[in-house]
Amino acid sequence: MEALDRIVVRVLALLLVALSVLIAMTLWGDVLLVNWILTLQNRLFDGVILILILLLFSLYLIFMSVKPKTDERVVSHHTTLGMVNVSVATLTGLIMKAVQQFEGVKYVNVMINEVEPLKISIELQLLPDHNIPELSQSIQAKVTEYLRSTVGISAESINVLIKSIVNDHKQKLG
Amino acid sequence: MAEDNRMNLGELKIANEVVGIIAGLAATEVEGVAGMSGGIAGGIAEMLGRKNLSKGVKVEVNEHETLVDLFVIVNYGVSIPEVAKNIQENVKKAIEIMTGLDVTEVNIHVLGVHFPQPQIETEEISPVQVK
Repeated sequence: MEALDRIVVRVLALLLVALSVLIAMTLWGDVLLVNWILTLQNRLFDGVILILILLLFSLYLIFMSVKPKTDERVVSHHTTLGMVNVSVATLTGLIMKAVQQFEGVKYVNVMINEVEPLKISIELQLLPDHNIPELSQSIQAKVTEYLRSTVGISAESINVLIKSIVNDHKQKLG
Repeated sequence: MAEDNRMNLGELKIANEVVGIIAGLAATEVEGVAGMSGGIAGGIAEMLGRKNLSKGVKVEVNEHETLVDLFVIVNYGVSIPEVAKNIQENVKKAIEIMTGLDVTEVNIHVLGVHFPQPQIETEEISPVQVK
């Protein structure tokens, strides 16, 4: 979470606490909140400013919720002309594509657990009638070789988790 | 900040954006580079029809050195170290030839991979492929 996001969330949390206290006081007979809201009728400018502030806060919260989360970790190489940083998203995409090319793989999810040293977890859903240990070993070998040739890095560990075996409905229809 | 060279006849100033455009163009002409990544702001600007030639480029021109950061998307299947090296060399060469600045660092940030779109066959397609 960025610094501005944290500030917005804290301010909103404090506002909500204050509002809860005022509502609780209203329930027990205090009319402070009601009176304050009624006075806004005579102070139109203040009311408009308050509405704008609340609208801005809500728009910011909506923006925060739809903003895609980015993994800012990178794998770095140093060269004579500068640094080459490869983002985790790039690595994930490359590994996914390499694994998807295996016959028998229905669904792939790739997670980069650590970047230095590089530790990868691959979750798979497989089609039936494939030898799982053989397929897993082939995938590990392929990913290792692929990362070496494409990104120029070697992975310390590539863990494969077979989550499930699924039927290929398309084949059944044929 | 702009680069300021004093000459006999006057001053020469090169804006950072100009260096950025040179770097961006030099980077995108390298084989294996699918494009530059300009973030959300860059994407919105492009949607509004503003062509940003220095998208995905950050330039820092100091008194004696020029640092360039490039945020790129590479094509699927290329060797990233090789493409990165070619970008670094091409960008350094282009900036130095065109501006006379001394480029000390060209940092490459590979933010994504561009996968080719699967080609749709227009010929007769069987609905189900049976192995």
